[in-house]
Amino acid sequence: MKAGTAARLLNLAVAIAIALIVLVPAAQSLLENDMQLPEMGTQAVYDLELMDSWSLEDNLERAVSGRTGCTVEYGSERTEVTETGISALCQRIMESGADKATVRDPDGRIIVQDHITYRNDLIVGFGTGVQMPGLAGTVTKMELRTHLISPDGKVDILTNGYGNPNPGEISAICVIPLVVYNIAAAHGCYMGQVVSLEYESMATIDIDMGNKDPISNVCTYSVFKDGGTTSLFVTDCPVTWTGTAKIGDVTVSCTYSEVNVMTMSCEGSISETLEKALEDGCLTIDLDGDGYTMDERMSSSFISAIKAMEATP
Amino acid sequence: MSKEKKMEKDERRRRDSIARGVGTMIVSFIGYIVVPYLIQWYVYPLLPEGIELEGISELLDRWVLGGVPIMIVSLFVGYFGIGSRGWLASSIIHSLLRIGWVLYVLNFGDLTGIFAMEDDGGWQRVDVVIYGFMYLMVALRLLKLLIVYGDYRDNRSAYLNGGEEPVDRGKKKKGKKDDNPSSDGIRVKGRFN
Repeated sequence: MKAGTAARLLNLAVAIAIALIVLVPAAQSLLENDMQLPEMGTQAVYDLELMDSWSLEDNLERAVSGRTGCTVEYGSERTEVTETGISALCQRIMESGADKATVRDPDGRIIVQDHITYRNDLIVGFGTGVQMPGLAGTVTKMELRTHLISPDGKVDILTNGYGNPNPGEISAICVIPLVVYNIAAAHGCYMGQVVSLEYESMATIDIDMGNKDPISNVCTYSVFKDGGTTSLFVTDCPVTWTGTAKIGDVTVSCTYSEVNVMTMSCEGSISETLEKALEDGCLTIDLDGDGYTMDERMSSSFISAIKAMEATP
Repeated sequence: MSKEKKMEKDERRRRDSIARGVGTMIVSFIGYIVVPYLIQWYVYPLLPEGIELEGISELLDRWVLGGVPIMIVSLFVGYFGIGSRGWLASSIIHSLLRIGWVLYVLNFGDLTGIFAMEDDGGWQRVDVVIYGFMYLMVALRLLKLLIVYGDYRDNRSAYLNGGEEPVDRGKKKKGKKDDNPSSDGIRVKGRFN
Protein backbone atom coordinates (compact mmCIF):
# COMPACT_ATOMS: atom_id res chain seq x y z
CA MET A 1 0.00 0.00 0.00
CA LYS A 2 1.22 3.46 -0.84
CA ALA A 3 2.17 5.70 2.08
CA GLY A 4 -0.31 8.39 0.96
CA THR A 5 -3.15 5.87 0.81
CA ALA A 6 -2.26 4.51 4.25
CA ALA A 7 -2.21 8.05 5.67
CA ARG A 8 -5.61 8.80 4.08
CA LEU A 9 -7.08 5.61 5.54
CA LEU A 10 -5.73 6.50 8.99
CA ASN A 11 -7.19 10.00 8.64
CA LEU A 12 -10.55 8.59 7.62
CA ALA A 13 -10.56 6.11 10.51
CA VAL A 14 -9.82 8.87 13.01
CA ALA A 15 -12.50 11.12 11.47
CA ILE A 16 -15.07 8.30 11.69
CA ALA A 17 -14.04 7.60 15.30
CA ILE A 18 -14.48 11.26 16.22
CA ALA A 19 -17.84 11.41 14.45
CA LEU A 20 -18.97 8.32 16.37
CA ILE A 21 -17.85 9.74 19.70
CA VAL A 22 -19.73 12.96 18.97
CA LEU A 23 -22.88 11.52 17.40
CA VAL A 24 -23.41 8.17 19.15
CA PRO A 25 -24.95 9.61 22.36
CA ALA A 26 -27.55 11.60 20.42
CA ALA A 27 -28.31 8.70 18.04
CA GLN A 28 -28.52 6.17 20.88
CA SER A 29 -30.93 8.40 22.81
CA LEU A 30 -33.16 8.80 19.74
CA LEU A 31 -33.20 5.02 19.18
CA GLU A 32 -34.03 4.41 22.83
CA ASN A 33 -36.89 6.90 22.45
CA ASP A 34 -38.26 5.03 19.38
CA MET A 35 -37.03 7.91 17.17
CA GLN A 36 -39.53 10.22 18.89
CA LEU A 37 -38.57 13.78 19.75
CA PRO A 38 -37.75 14.14 23.46
CA GLU A 39 -40.66 14.95 25.76
CA MET A 40 -40.58 18.33 27.49
CA GLY A 41 -40.82 18.22 31.26
CA THR A 42 -38.90 17.30 34.35
CA GLN A 43 -39.12 14.35 36.71
CA ALA A 44 -41.16 14.93 39.87
CA VAL A 45 -38.12 14.78 42.15
CA TYR A 46 -38.41 17.76 44.50
CA ASP A 47 -35.51 19.47 46.23
CA LEU A 48 -37.23 20.10 49.57
CA GLU A 49 -34.57 22.57 50.71
CA LEU A 50 -35.94 24.97 48.08
CA MET A 51 -39.61 24.47 48.99
CA ASP A 52 -42.07 25.16 51.75
CA SER A 53 -45.17 23.04 52.32
CA TRP A 54 -47.38 25.29 50.10
CA SER A 55 -44.95 25.07 47.24
CA LEU A 56 -44.70 21.29 47.71
CA GLU A 57 -48.50 21.02 47.76
CA ASP A 58 -48.81 23.00 44.52
CA ASN A 59 -46.30 20.76 42.74
CA LEU A 60 -47.68 17.53 44.16
CA GLU A 61 -51.23 18.46 43.13
CA ARG A 62 -50.15 19.13 39.56
CA ALA A 63 -48.08 15.92 39.45
CA VAL A 64 -50.91 13.58 40.52
CA SER A 65 -53.72 15.51 38.84
CA GLY A 66 -56.06 13.04 37.06
CA ARG A 67 -54.22 9.96 38.40
CA THR A 68 -54.93 7.57 41.21
CA GLY A 69 -52.60 5.29 43.13
CA CYS A 70 -49.57 7.58 42.91
CA THR A 71 -47.03 7.42 45.73
CA VAL A 72 -44.53 9.86 47.16
CA GLU A 73 -41.18 8.78 48.60
CA TYR A 74 -39.36 10.95 51.12
CA GLY A 75 -36.51 9.77 53.31
CA SER A 76 -37.30 6.14 54.09
CA GLU A 77 -41.09 6.71 53.92
CA ARG A 78 -43.43 5.87 51.06
CA THR A 79 -47.03 7.11 51.14
CA GLU A 80 -49.93 6.96 48.70
CA VAL A 81 -51.11 10.40 47.56
CA THR A 82 -54.84 11.03 47.80
CA GLU A 83 -56.38 14.28 46.60
CA THR A 84 -58.02 15.00 49.93
CA GLY A 85 -54.98 14.49 52.12
CA ILE A 86 -52.31 16.35 50.12
CA SER A 87 -52.07 19.32 52.47
CA ALA A 88 -51.49 17.21 55.58
CA LEU A 89 -49.11 14.94 53.68
CA CYS A 90 -47.03 17.92 52.58
CA GLN A 91 -46.78 19.14 56.17
CA ARG A 92 -45.57 15.67 57.21
CA ILE A 93 -43.02 15.54 54.40
CA MET A 94 -41.57 18.95 55.34
CA GLU A 95 -41.44 18.04 59.01
CA SER A 96 -39.66 14.76 58.24
CA GLY A 97 -36.49 16.70 57.37
CA ALA A 98 -35.99 14.72 54.14
CA ASP A 99 -33.87 16.38 51.40
CA LYS A 100 -35.86 15.07 48.46
CA ALA A 101 -39.35 13.80 47.62
CA THR A 102 -40.04 11.63 44.56
CA VAL A 103 -43.51 11.12 43.08
CA ARG A 104 -44.20 7.80 41.29
CA ASP A 105 -47.16 6.57 39.26
CA PRO A 106 -48.96 3.29 40.21
CA ASP A 107 -46.44 1.37 38.03
CA GLY A 108 -43.54 2.75 40.06
CA ARG A 109 -42.27 5.10 37.33
CA ILE A 110 -41.25 8.63 38.30
CA ILE A 111 -43.93 11.05 37.08
CA VAL A 112 -42.85 13.70 34.56
CA GLN A 113 -44.43 17.13 34.93
CA ASP A 114 -43.94 20.12 32.67
CA HIS A 115 -42.29 22.24 35.37
CA ILE A 116 -41.69 22.41 39.13
CA THR A 117 -42.08 25.64 41.09
CA TYR A 118 -39.84 26.41 44.06
CA ARG A 119 -40.71 28.85 46.80
CA ASN A 120 -39.79 29.29 50.44
CA ASP A 121 -38.92 32.24 52.67
CA LEU A 122 -35.57 32.67 50.92
CA ILE A 123 -36.06 32.00 47.23
CA VAL A 124 -38.48 31.73 44.35
CA GLY A 125 -37.77 29.65 41.26
CA PHE A 126 -38.70 26.89 38.89
CA GLY A 127 -37.30 23.75 37.33
CA THR A 128 -37.83 22.42 33.84
CA GLY A 129 -36.16 20.15 31.32
CA VAL A 130 -36.31 17.63 28.51
CA GLN A 131 -36.64 13.85 28.90
CA MET A 132 -33.57 12.32 27.28
CA PRO A 133 -33.03 8.64 28.05
CA GLY A 134 -29.68 7.09 27.17
CA LEU A 135 -26.23 8.54 26.68
CA ALA A 136 -27.23 12.01 25.46
CA GLY A 137 -28.88 12.72 28.81
CA THR A 138 -25.69 11.64 30.57
CA VAL A 139 -23.24 13.64 28.48
CA THR A 140 -25.34 16.81 28.24
CA LYS A 141 -25.38 19.24 31.12
CA MET A 142 -27.87 22.04 31.43
CA GLU A 143 -27.98 25.08 33.68
CA LEU A 144 -30.65 27.73 34.00
CA ARG A 145 -30.03 31.19 35.37
CA THR A 146 -32.12 34.31 35.67
CA HIS A 147 -30.72 37.51 34.19
CA LEU A 148 -31.92 40.76 35.76
CA ILE A 149 -30.95 43.91 33.88
CA SER A 150 -31.96 47.49 34.65
CA PRO A 151 -32.89 49.82 31.76
CA ASP A 152 -29.94 52.12 32.60
CA GLY A 153 -27.53 49.18 32.64
CA LYS A 154 -26.40 49.87 36.21
CA VAL A 155 -27.77 46.56 37.47
CA ASP A 156 -26.82 43.30 35.77
CA ILE A 157 -27.47 40.34 38.05
CA LEU A 158 -27.07 36.72 36.95
CA THR A 159 -28.38 34.21 39.48
CA ASN A 160 -26.76 30.92 40.50
CA GLY A 161 -27.12 28.01 38.11
CA TYR A 162 -28.26 24.56 39.24
CA GLY A 163 -27.80 21.53 37.03
CA ASN A 164 -30.30 18.80 37.85
CA PRO A 165 -28.62 15.44 38.40
CA ASN A 166 -31.72 13.32 37.60
CA PRO A 167 -30.64 10.48 35.28
CA GLY A 168 -32.48 10.19 31.96
CA GLU A 169 -33.20 13.87 31.52
CA ILE A 170 -31.56 17.17 30.76
CA SER A 171 -32.99 19.58 33.28
CA ALA A 172 -32.16 22.47 35.54
CA ILE A 173 -33.47 24.58 38.39
CA CYS A 174 -33.50 28.35 38.32
CA VAL A 175 -33.69 30.15 41.66
CA ILE A 176 -33.79 33.84 42.65
CA PRO A 177 -33.34 34.95 46.26
CA LEU A 178 -36.35 37.05 47.31
CA VAL A 179 -34.12 39.91 48.51
CA VAL A 180 -32.43 40.09 45.11
CA TYR A 181 -35.78 39.90 43.32
CA ASN A 182 -37.12 42.89 45.27
CA ILE A 183 -33.95 44.94 44.73
CA ALA A 184 -34.12 44.20 40.98
CA ALA A 185 -37.81 45.17 40.95
CA ALA A 186 -36.96 48.47 42.66
CA HIS A 187 -34.46 49.22 39.89
CA GLY A 188 -37.15 48.50 37.27
CA CYS A 189 -35.15 45.54 35.98
CA TYR A 190 -36.16 43.38 33.06
CA MET A 191 -36.01 39.63 33.58
CA GLY A 192 -34.56 37.08 31.20
CA GLN A 193 -33.34 33.50 31.28
CA VAL A 194 -29.91 32.15 30.45
CA VAL A 195 -29.89 28.53 29.28
CA SER A 196 -26.44 26.89 29.26
CA LEU A 197 -26.01 23.58 27.50
CA GLU A 198 -22.77 21.62 27.56
CA TYR A 199 -22.34 18.60 25.28
CA GLU A 200 -19.68 15.99 26.09
CA SER A 201 -17.48 18.69 27.67
CA MET A 202 -16.65 19.74 24.11
CA ALA A 203 -19.03 22.57 23.40
CA THR A 204 -21.03 24.97 25.52
CA ILE A 205 -23.86 27.12 24.23
CA ASP A 206 -25.31 29.92 26.37
CA ILE A 207 -28.56 31.43 25.18
CA ASP A 208 -29.53 34.61 27.01
CA MET A 209 -33.00 35.91 26.20
CA GLY A 210 -35.62 38.04 27.80
CA ASN A 211 -38.24 40.67 27.22
CA LYS A 212 -38.16 44.28 28.26
CA ASP A 213 -41.19 44.25 30.54
CA PRO A 214 -40.15 45.43 34.00
CA ILE A 215 -40.64 42.97 36.88
CA SER A 216 -42.73 45.65 38.59
CA ASN A 217 -44.07 49.00 37.42
CA VAL A 218 -44.95 50.21 40.92
CA CYS A 219 -41.98 49.16 43.05
CA THR A 220 -39.83 52.07 44.32
CA TYR A 221 -37.04 52.53 46.83
CA SER A 222 -35.70 55.12 49.25
CA VAL A 223 -32.61 55.30 51.42
CA PHE A 224 -32.55 56.98 54.85
CA LYS A 225 -29.66 57.69 57.19
CA ASP A 226 -30.53 58.13 60.83
CA GLY A 227 -27.45 58.76 62.93
CA GLY A 228 -25.16 55.88 62.07
CA THR A 229 -27.93 53.61 60.79
CA THR A 230 -28.73 53.28 57.10
CA SER A 231 -32.12 51.94 56.04
CA LEU A 232 -33.18 51.00 52.54
CA PHE A 233 -36.93 50.71 51.94
CA VAL A 234 -38.29 48.90 48.90
CA THR A 235 -41.95 49.87 48.66
CA ASP A 236 -44.58 47.81 46.81
CA CYS A 237 -42.12 44.96 46.53
CA PRO A 238 -43.39 41.96 44.55
CA VAL A 239 -42.35 39.19 46.99
CA THR A 240 -42.42 38.96 50.78
CA TRP A 241 -41.67 36.49 53.54
CA THR A 242 -42.13 36.13 57.25
CA GLY A 243 -39.27 36.46 59.72
CA THR A 244 -36.08 38.47 59.67
CA ALA A 245 -33.24 37.50 57.37
CA LYS A 246 -29.61 38.40 57.87
CA ILE A 247 -26.89 38.96 55.29
CA GLY A 248 -23.84 39.41 57.45
CA ASP A 249 -24.73 42.33 59.74
CA VAL A 250 -27.48 43.59 57.43
CA THR A 251 -31.01 42.88 58.62
CA VAL A 252 -33.68 42.27 55.98
CA SER A 253 -37.38 42.02 56.77
CA CYS A 254 -40.76 42.55 55.19
CA THR A 255 -43.75 44.41 56.61
CA TYR A 256 -47.20 45.24 55.31
CA SER A 257 -48.48 48.78 55.64
CA GLU A 258 -51.04 49.34 52.86
CA VAL A 259 -48.37 47.96 50.53
CA ASN A 260 -45.56 45.44 51.00
CA VAL A 261 -42.31 47.00 52.16
CA MET A 262 -38.91 45.33 52.36
CA THR A 263 -36.43 46.96 54.71
CA MET A 264 -32.66 46.48 54.72
CA SER A 265 -30.81 48.16 57.56
CA CYS A 266 -27.48 48.17 59.35
CA GLU A 267 -24.98 50.38 61.09
CA GLY A 268 -23.02 52.36 58.47
CA SER A 269 -23.26 51.85 54.76
CA ILE A 270 -25.26 48.79 53.63
CA SER A 271 -23.02 48.05 50.64
CA GLU A 272 -19.87 48.30 52.75
CA THR A 273 -21.39 46.03 55.41
CA LEU A 274 -22.29 43.53 52.68
CA GLU A 275 -18.73 43.67 51.37
CA LYS A 276 -17.49 42.82 54.85
CA ALA A 277 -19.90 39.86 54.94
CA LEU A 278 -18.37 38.27 51.82
CA GLU A 279 -16.89 34.82 52.41
CA ASP A 280 -14.74 33.66 49.50
CA GLY A 281 -16.55 36.32 47.47
CA CYS A 282 -19.98 34.91 48.32
CA LEU A 283 -22.87 36.30 50.35
CA THR A 284 -25.13 34.07 52.45
CA ILE A 285 -28.69 34.95 53.40
CA ASP A 286 -29.70 33.37 56.72
CA LEU A 287 -33.25 32.98 57.96
CA ASP A 288 -34.28 30.90 60.95
CA GLY A 289 -31.44 28.44 60.48
CA ASP A 290 -31.93 28.10 56.72
CA GLY A 291 -29.40 29.64 54.39
CA TYR A 292 -28.91 30.46 50.74
CA THR A 293 -25.49 31.30 49.32
CA MET A 294 -25.14 33.46 46.24
CA ASP A 295 -22.18 32.72 43.98
CA GLU A 296 -19.36 35.25 43.51
CA ARG A 297 -20.78 36.94 40.43
CA MET A 298 -24.25 37.25 41.87
CA SER A 299 -22.90 38.57 45.19
CA SER A 300 -20.80 41.28 43.56
CA SER A 301 -23.59 42.38 41.21
CA PHE A 302 -26.05 42.47 44.12
CA ILE A 303 -23.68 44.71 46.09
CA SER A 304 -23.31 46.94 43.00
CA ALA A 305 -27.10 47.26 42.82
CA ILE A 306 -27.22 48.34 46.50
CA LYS A 307 -24.36 50.83 45.88
CA ALA A 308 -26.34 52.36 43.01
CA MET A 309 -29.30 52.81 45.38
CA GLU A 310 -27.16 54.39 48.09
CA ALA A 311 -25.61 56.75 45.55
CA THR A 312 -29.03 58.04 44.50
CA PRO A 313 -29.60 61.50 46.05
CA MET B 1 -10.59 6.76 -15.51
CA SER B 2 -8.28 4.44 -17.42
CA LYS B 3 -4.92 3.52 -15.97
CA GLU B 4 -3.06 5.38 -18.75
CA LYS B 5 -5.03 8.55 -18.15
CA LYS B 6 -4.44 8.32 -14.42
CA MET B 7 -0.72 7.82 -14.95
CA GLU B 8 -0.69 10.75 -17.33
CA LYS B 9 -2.46 12.89 -14.77
CA ASP B 10 -0.05 11.80 -12.03
CA GLU B 11 2.88 12.61 -14.30
CA ARG B 12 1.49 16.08 -14.97
CA ARG B 13 0.99 16.61 -11.26
CA ARG B 14 4.66 15.81 -10.66
CA ARG B 15 5.81 18.57 -12.98
CA ASP B 16 6.19 22.18 -11.83
CA SER B 17 3.50 24.37 -13.31
CA ILE B 18 2.89 28.10 -13.02
CA ALA B 19 -0.65 27.71 -14.39
CA ARG B 20 -1.51 25.16 -11.72
CA GLY B 21 0.00 27.42 -9.04
CA VAL B 22 -2.09 30.37 -10.18
CA GLY B 23 -5.17 28.13 -10.40
CA THR B 24 -4.68 26.89 -6.83
CA MET B 25 -4.21 30.46 -5.66
CA ILE B 26 -7.43 31.56 -7.40
CA VAL B 27 -9.34 28.75 -5.68
CA SER B 28 -7.88 29.90 -2.33
CA PHE B 29 -8.74 33.51 -3.19
CA ILE B 30 -12.36 32.52 -3.75
CA GLY B 31 -12.53 30.48 -0.53
CA TYR B 32 -10.74 32.88 1.78
CA ILE B 33 -11.50 36.32 0.33
CA VAL B 34 -14.52 36.20 -1.99
CA VAL B 35 -16.82 33.95 0.08
CA PRO B 36 -16.71 36.10 3.27
CA TYR B 37 -17.39 39.24 1.24
CA LEU B 38 -20.26 37.52 -0.59
CA ILE B 39 -21.72 36.65 2.83
CA GLN B 40 -21.44 40.29 3.92
CA TRP B 41 -22.94 41.62 0.68
CA TYR B 42 -25.73 39.12 0.06
CA VAL B 43 -26.59 37.46 3.41
CA TYR B 44 -26.45 40.49 5.73
CA PRO B 45 -29.28 42.38 3.95
CA LEU B 46 -31.51 39.30 4.30
CA LEU B 47 -31.19 39.24 8.10
CA PRO B 48 -33.99 40.81 10.15
CA GLU B 49 -33.49 44.22 11.72
CA GLY B 50 -32.14 44.35 15.26
CA ILE B 51 -29.52 41.64 14.79
CA GLU B 52 -26.12 42.83 15.94
CA LEU B 53 -23.63 41.65 13.33
CA GLU B 54 -20.50 42.55 15.27
CA GLY B 55 -19.69 38.96 16.28
CA ILE B 56 -20.20 37.55 12.78
CA SER B 57 -18.37 40.49 11.16
CA GLU B 58 -15.36 39.94 13.41
CA LEU B 59 -15.38 36.25 12.45
CA LEU B 60 -15.49 37.12 8.74
CA ASP B 61 -12.69 39.68 9.17
CA ARG B 62 -10.55 36.98 10.79
CA TRP B 63 -11.53 34.62 7.96
CA VAL B 64 -10.10 37.05 5.35
CA LEU B 65 -7.06 38.15 7.37
CA GLY B 66 -6.08 34.58 8.23
CA GLY B 67 -6.73 33.50 4.64
CA VAL B 68 -4.21 35.86 3.00
CA PRO B 69 -1.03 33.92 3.99
CA ILE B 70 -2.74 30.63 3.06
CA MET B 71 -3.62 32.08 -0.34
CA ILE B 72 0.01 33.10 -0.94
CA VAL B 73 1.41 29.72 0.13
CA SER B 74 -1.17 27.90 -2.02
CA LEU B 75 0.54 29.42 -5.08
CA PHE B 76 3.68 27.43 -4.21
CA VAL B 77 1.71 24.30 -3.29
CA GLY B 78 0.14 24.39 -6.73
CA TYR B 79 3.30 25.36 -8.57
CA PHE B 80 5.66 22.67 -7.28
CA GLY B 81 5.27 19.12 -8.55
CA ILE B 82 4.35 16.46 -5.99
CA GLY B 83 7.54 14.77 -4.87
CA SER B 84 9.66 17.91 -4.86
CA ARG B 85 11.04 19.28 -1.66
CA GLY B 86 9.49 22.62 -2.53
CA TRP B 87 6.06 20.96 -2.63
CA LEU B 88 6.72 19.18 0.68
CA ALA B 89 7.84 22.37 2.41
CA SER B 90 5.02 24.51 1.02
CA SER B 91 2.41 21.83 1.76
CA ILE B 92 3.57 21.50 5.37
CA ILE B 93 3.50 25.29 5.79
CA HIS B 94 0.06 25.33 4.09
CA SER B 95 -1.30 22.66 6.47
CA LEU B 96 0.09 24.45 9.53
CA LEU B 97 -1.34 27.75 8.33
CA ARG B 98 -4.74 26.12 7.89
CA ILE B 99 -4.59 24.83 11.47
CA GLY B 100 -3.75 28.37 12.57
CA TRP B 101 -6.57 29.70 10.38
CA VAL B 102 -9.18 27.43 12.00
CA LEU B 103 -7.97 28.46 15.47
CA TYR B 104 -7.89 32.15 14.54
CA VAL B 105 -11.25 32.26 12.74
CA LEU B 106 -13.00 30.44 15.59
CA ASN B 107 -11.22 32.73 18.08
CA PHE B 108 -9.50 29.70 19.67
CA GLY B 109 -12.92 28.22 20.43
CA ASP B 110 -14.38 31.23 22.23
CA LEU B 111 -17.26 32.62 20.15
CA THR B 112 -18.81 34.70 22.91
CA GLY B 113 -21.46 37.02 21.52
CA ILE B 114 -21.44 35.40 18.07
CA PHE B 115 -25.12 36.27 17.75
CA ALA B 116 -26.95 39.09 19.46
CA MET B 117 -30.28 40.75 18.85
CA GLU B 118 -31.89 43.57 20.75
CA ASP B 119 -34.93 45.71 20.12
CA ASP B 120 -37.59 47.49 22.17
CA GLY B 121 -39.31 44.19 22.92
CA GLY B 122 -36.41 42.19 24.29
CA TRP B 123 -32.98 40.72 23.76
CA GLN B 124 -31.32 37.51 22.62
CA ARG B 125 -27.67 36.67 22.82
CA VAL B 126 -25.86 33.45 22.00
CA ASP B 127 -22.39 32.57 23.31
CA VAL B 128 -20.67 29.49 21.95
CA VAL B 129 -17.53 27.95 23.44
CA ILE B 130 -16.10 24.98 21.55
CA TYR B 131 -12.70 24.24 23.06
CA GLY B 132 -13.25 20.45 22.87
CA PHE B 133 -14.22 20.53 19.20
CA MET B 134 -11.23 22.78 18.50
CA TYR B 135 -8.81 20.18 19.89
CA LEU B 136 -10.42 17.48 17.73
CA MET B 137 -10.26 19.64 14.61
CA VAL B 138 -6.61 20.51 15.24
CA ALA B 139 -5.80 16.81 15.82
CA LEU B 140 -7.46 15.90 12.51
CA ARG B 141 -5.63 18.66 10.68
CA LEU B 142 -2.31 17.53 12.17
CA LEU B 143 -3.01 14.05 10.86
CA LYS B 144 -3.28 15.54 7.38
CA LEU B 145 0.46 16.22 7.59
CA LEU B 146 0.90 12.45 7.31
CA ILE B 147 -0.98 12.52 4.00
CA VAL B 148 1.33 15.27 2.75
CA TYR B 149 4.40 13.28 3.70
CA GLY B 150 2.90 10.07 2.29
CA ASP B 151 2.21 11.74 -1.07
CA TYR B 152 5.72 13.16 -1.09
CA ARG B 153 7.25 9.74 -0.42
CA ASP B 154 5.08 8.00 -3.00
CA ASN B 155 5.98 10.49 -5.72
CA ARG B 156 9.55 11.29 -4.81
CA SER B 157 11.36 8.77 -7.01
CA ALA B 158 9.01 9.39 -9.94
CA TYR B 159 9.54 13.12 -9.58
CA LEU B 160 13.30 12.65 -9.63
CA ASN B 161 12.81 10.53 -12.70
CA GLY B 162 11.36 13.50 -14.56
CA GLY B 163 7.75 12.75 -13.65
CA GLU B 164 7.61 9.16 -14.88
CA GLU B 165 7.43 6.13 -12.61
CA PRO B 166 10.84 4.37 -12.54
CA VAL B 167 10.44 1.17 -14.62
CA ASP B 168 12.83 -0.93 -12.52
CA ARG B 169 11.23 -0.05 -9.22
CA GLY B 170 9.85 -3.50 -8.55
CA LYS B 171 13.14 -5.23 -9.34
CA LYS B 172 15.15 -3.28 -6.81
CA LYS B 173 16.84 -5.59 -4.30
CA LYS B 174 16.82 -4.94 -0.62
CA GLY B 175 19.98 -3.24 0.56
CA LYS B 176 21.20 -2.62 -2.96
CA LYS B 177 21.70 0.92 -4.05
CA ASP B 178 19.38 2.16 -6.80
CA ASP B 179 20.96 2.07 -10.25
CA ASN B 180 19.16 5.19 -11.25
CA PRO B 181 21.63 8.00 -10.59
CA SER B 182 18.82 10.49 -10.20
CA SER B 183 17.48 8.66 -7.14
CA ASP B 184 20.38 10.01 -5.14
CA GLY B 185 18.37 13.15 -5.32
CA ILE B 186 21.24 15.40 -6.16
CA ARG B 187 20.75 16.92 -9.55
CA VAL B 188 18.03 16.48 -12.14
CA LYS B 189 17.64 18.53 -15.31
CA GLY B 190 20.39 20.83 -14.16
CA ARG B 191 18.88 21.87 -10.82
CA PHE B 192 18.93 20.66 -7.26
CA ASN B 193 15.82 19.02 -5.83
